[in-house]
Parts: sequence; C-alpha cells; structure tokens
Amino acid sequence: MPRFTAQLKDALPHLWRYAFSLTQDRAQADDLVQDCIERALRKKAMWDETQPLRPWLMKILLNLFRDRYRSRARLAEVPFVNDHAGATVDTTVEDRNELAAVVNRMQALPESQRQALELVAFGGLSYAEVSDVLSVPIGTVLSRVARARTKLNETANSQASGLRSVT
Amino acid sequence: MTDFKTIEERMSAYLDGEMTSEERAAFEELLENDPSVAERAANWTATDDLVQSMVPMPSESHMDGLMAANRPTEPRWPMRKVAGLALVFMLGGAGGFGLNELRQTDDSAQILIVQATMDATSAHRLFTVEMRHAVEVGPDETEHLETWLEKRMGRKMIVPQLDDHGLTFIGGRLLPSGGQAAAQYMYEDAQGERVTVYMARTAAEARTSLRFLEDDDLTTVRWQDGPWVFFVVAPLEREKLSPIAAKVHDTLI
Repeated sequence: MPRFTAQLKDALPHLWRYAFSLTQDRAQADDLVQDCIERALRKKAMWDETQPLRPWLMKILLNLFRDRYRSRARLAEVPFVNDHAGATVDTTVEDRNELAAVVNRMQALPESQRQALELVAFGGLSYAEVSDVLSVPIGTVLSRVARARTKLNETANSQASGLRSVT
Repeated sequence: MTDFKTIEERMSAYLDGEMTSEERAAFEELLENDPSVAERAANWTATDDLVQSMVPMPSESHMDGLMAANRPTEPRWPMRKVAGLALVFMLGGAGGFGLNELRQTDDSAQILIVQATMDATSAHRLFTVEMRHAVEVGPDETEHLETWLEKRMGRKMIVPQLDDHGLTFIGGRLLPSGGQAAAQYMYEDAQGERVTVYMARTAAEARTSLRFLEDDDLTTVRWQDGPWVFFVVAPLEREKLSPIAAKVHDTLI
C-alpha cells in the first residue's frame, strides 16, 4: 500500500504534464489528474505490483481523456497553441521564433507520432512502457519517436536559420 | 541489442537513454568522429529543450493538493465509497446505469450546478461578513442543528469537525435554493477568515470527484454524490483548501 502511494506521488508531475500536453489547459489537466487518481485508487487491486505504476496511470489517464473528449465529439486532441503560457518566461526573440516553429511542427505531426513523443517527453516513460500503454511493439515506439523528432528538427532548423539570416 | 534502422532512431534512443552501454559507447564514438552527427545531436537536444518548455512544470504543492483531494484519510473510506456507488446505482434505476453515463452531465444538469455554485458563493459572501448574525444556530446547539437540518434536507446532516485544520465551527443555517432547502455550515480560523460548507439538492444525479474553481479571492471546491451537491468556499489557496474539502467530503458522503 505505501508502495502504491509513494509511486503515485512520484508519478504525479509526469501525469500532470502529460495531461496538460493533451488538453493544453491547466484546469482540465487538474481535472484529468484528479479523476485519474480517483480511478487508480478504486482499481488499486487490479494493479500488478511487480510492474511500475507510472505506465499504468498513464494508460488510465489516456483512457479517461479519450472517454471524456471523444464521446463528446470534441477535438481528439487539443493542438499546441502558439501563444501558450509555457514554463519558460524570459526567452529571447530568437528562442521564441524557434519555439513557435517547433510548436507548429508538433501540431503537424501525425497523431501516432505525437502520442509516442508526448508519452516519452512529458510522461517520462521508457520506450518499453510506451509500448505497453499504446499496445504497439517497442520497435514501433522507437520508430515513431524518431520520426517525430526528425520532423520537429528538420523544419525547426531550416526555419530558425532562415530567421537568423534576416537579422 | 536494439535493431536500429536509421541514424535518427539511434539519435532518439541515445537522447532518451534507451541504449545499452555498448550501443551508447559506439554512438558516442561516432559523435566524436563525425562533426555533422555531433551538430545534429546538439540541434536535437536544443529542440528537446524547447519541447519541454511547451508544457509547464507543476509545483509540488499543487500536486499535493491534487493528491489530498483524493487521499483516503480514514480506513472506512472504501466502505463509504462502495456505499456511495451503490446508492447512485440504485437511484440510476435498474437499467444498468454505468459510471460513465453518470459522469456525463448534460446541459440542464450543468445549469443547475452553476446555479448552485452561485448560491453557495453568495451565501458565503452574504453571511461571512456578519459578526452577530452569521449563523442561525450556534455551535453550542450542534446536535439540534443536525436534527433540524436533517428533517428539512431529508438526509443525514453531520457537522464535520475541522479543528485539525485550525477551523472552529461557528454554526449553521437553512437557506432556500431553487425552491428547496439548502444548508450552510460556517467555520472560522484564528485570523477570523471564514470557510463555508454548503449543501443543496439538485434534480440531476451525478457522482464527481472534487472540482476546483478559483474566482477572485474565493476558492470553491465542489463535488456531487447522487442528487446532493456539496461546496466548500473560502478565501484560501487551493492547496490549503484541498485537505479541508477532503475532510468534509469524507464526513458527509
């Protein structure tokens, strides 16, 4: 039991960031995480104690997100918005331009690739854990994450250098 | 050994710490010997940092608040949960009302909740400024208050004791809410800040976890159990209100 609570507590920041990446909204991320905790506590008995808790929680959260938003015919995933209030505040103009480029690239990614990258980048999961959450082979996770990163970088770099040449 | 198909896969696996030590050593050798790969790796790292900056990092206290809202504080909790679910199930009819359907509140239910939220906040604003007439029944008559409200509300009305959270019970009152009876309990901390617990009956059944609303100086926590909707309103930060709401939830459900 304490193992469960300790792991749950450890997983929370990742869980929240993943929820934020899905919803792009603090209040909705809070709601998702709260519901996820509630469901996890209720289903505690179903957790295989030999397995890490974090992927199990991510799976619950992703299911909650799908139930809630897909059933209401809302957008499957809220795209990253360009004027987002992210963690970094004092970024330089150049950084902001690059960030905007990456945000746009992120938005343009196929859902399967973005999903894999989000689980790794924000959910803090290993490829093996992502493969478990998404029920795809680990090789597929590797390929999706690599493709996502390739796309984020290809255009980000060319755009960024284009911006630099103007200044 | 992972079967890397492309240099991009190797680079990703390297950045994500998904390599065996042999794979990592081999890749690092490549980084040292091939400047173009090294430059690309540096760019990818910079992009990863930008990606990280797209999502804020929540504060620890915020996470504690989310956790506290759901933490079982008493061993009796699971029993209560089961009882609560059973009640909702029965009220939902014999047609096999799943939890998912119950969670989805339609628009009219949403309006009722909004109305009740406004009632709860105005009750808080209206009576917390009162020194002499803040409550109808004082703390010395708690038992009488419980029986009286029980009769009018049609449900068990226990007064949650929040002394552990530095809050003294100062009394309660009956209020009208959408043509029905609503109840209000009031608490006060050492600095004279007041916390309101408000309960009303709605026409729409639902069962929710704790929901937070921050509005001007007030934070409101709401949850619903069957037809009963509960509010805790206070001029406190969410992190501070969360454990208080959890205790109230625990006592009243």
